[in-house]
Amino acid sequence: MKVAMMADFLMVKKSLGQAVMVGVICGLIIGLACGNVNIIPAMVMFMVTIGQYISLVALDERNGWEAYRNTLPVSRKQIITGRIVFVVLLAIAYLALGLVIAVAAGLIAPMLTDVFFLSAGDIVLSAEDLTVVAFGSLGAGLALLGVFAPILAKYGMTKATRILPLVFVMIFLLVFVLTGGPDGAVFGGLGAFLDGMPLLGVCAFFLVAGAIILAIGGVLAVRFYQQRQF
Amino acid sequence: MSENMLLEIEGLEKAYEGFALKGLNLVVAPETIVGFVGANGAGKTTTLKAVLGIIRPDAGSIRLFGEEVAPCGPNYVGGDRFAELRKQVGFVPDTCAWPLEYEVAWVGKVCQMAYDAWDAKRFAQLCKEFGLAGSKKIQELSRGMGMKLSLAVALCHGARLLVLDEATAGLDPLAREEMVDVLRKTVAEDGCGILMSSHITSDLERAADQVVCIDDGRIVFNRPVDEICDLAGVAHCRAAQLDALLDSHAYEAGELRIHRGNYSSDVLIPDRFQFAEAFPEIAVDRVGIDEYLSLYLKGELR
Repeated sequence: MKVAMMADFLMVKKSLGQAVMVGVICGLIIGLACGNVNIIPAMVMFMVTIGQYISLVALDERNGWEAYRNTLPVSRKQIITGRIVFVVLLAIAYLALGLVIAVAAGLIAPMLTDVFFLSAGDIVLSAEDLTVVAFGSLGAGLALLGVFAPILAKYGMTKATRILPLVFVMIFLLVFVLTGGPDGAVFGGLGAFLDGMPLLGVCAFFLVAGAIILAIGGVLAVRFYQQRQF
Repeated sequence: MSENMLLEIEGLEKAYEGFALKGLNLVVAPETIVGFVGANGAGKTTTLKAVLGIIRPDAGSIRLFGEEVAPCGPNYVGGDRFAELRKQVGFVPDTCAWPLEYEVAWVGKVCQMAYDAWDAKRFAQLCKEFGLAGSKKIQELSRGMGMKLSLAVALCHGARLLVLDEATAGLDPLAREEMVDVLRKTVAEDGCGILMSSHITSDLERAADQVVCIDDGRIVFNRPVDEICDLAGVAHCRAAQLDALLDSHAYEAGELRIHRGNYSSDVLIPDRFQFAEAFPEIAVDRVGIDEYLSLYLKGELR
């Protein structure tokens, strides 16, 4: 698995800095524009992490690398699990970076009131909100990875680009329409359940839920990848 | 099947739309170089992909170093054991397939982690000999330099079996000669075996011990190179001479391959020395693998 992680790391090594920069800038702008710096960690983590996973799969298809890699002494299971672990580690690192940026933005923003779109009192830095957003976004990121990974493993990037939009729509339907939307019973019940929990419990809930979906997705991804032919 | 064989393929089958490998048998012994020849689309790369685990055969058996590695059927699992055995296999594809973002030195880093027996010193030495600077990016390498990098990787982890897929294509003649010499030296010193698919038959004449020809998914012949280059021959017959040859019944059915031209016919002869004694009036020449292949595949069978 370490071989697969190293191979992936070296593929994106030179673009990591650029990707982080893009994520940080976008996160800052959106967070400040929305007047809520607490969403910055989520923005940075999502944009960079999911982007990196998709980039890696796309880079696989260049130059015959994907087929050649399968002639190295690395099993297909190691390739997929190595990639997932690498991206999860990136997610945690970017989340930490996002938190630092959010705190910095929250401290600096009040000094920038009446500049551009900022006005006094708009920016609220909340430790509790930041914590919930961090764990919530990490959980959501893990879950999203758990959905993407098997699709990308089965079809590769070229074919998956045709399927992923449909998957997004299905997730949207499932989450927002079939459950009755944010004001519906499902979300209401979930909200009530989470409201009754201590902060640590809420964080653990998001993390565990995301991890379970990722674990299921990871197993499927390995199975699909083991059956692919190049 | 022998326990000592590096690679044994038996009854290999793989079907695609419009093409199928049928009942392919092939063996690579230690200290031998097996040349694998055939027309484009004959099934050479398909065979090599099956050996390496990139594709799943429909039927048949592949044994690497005595171990069965390619379970057939719908539930193929590219497992850990196959990956472990690939530590002893060096593969050189027809193009350098490392990620374009990599530098040459990074290839060494990945291989250091992947192969237990990775020889970093030898890799550095080969890169120097081949003119591959560590900081050079893969995307900046010419085709020939990319091939040399792939070969360097294959030679630096103690591989017992080397699999080369058109590895000398794209190299200039001097570089090809150099590569063939390196391969022969590797076989002689390390005792490994090589399965080498190539269209450049002059390389096989210099290096290979055995030549296996595949056509339309089937093995059509499997002969020692000596038998082809040092024994077989091509007889150049005029019409009357051809008739006399065929009427003499000196050869059994299936021994001769005839290519009829407008003014003369070329006949593939299994033993040119015997032929010259029996038919001194007919000109007979030594035959190379190229010509042997051409006559064998296109010639009329008698």
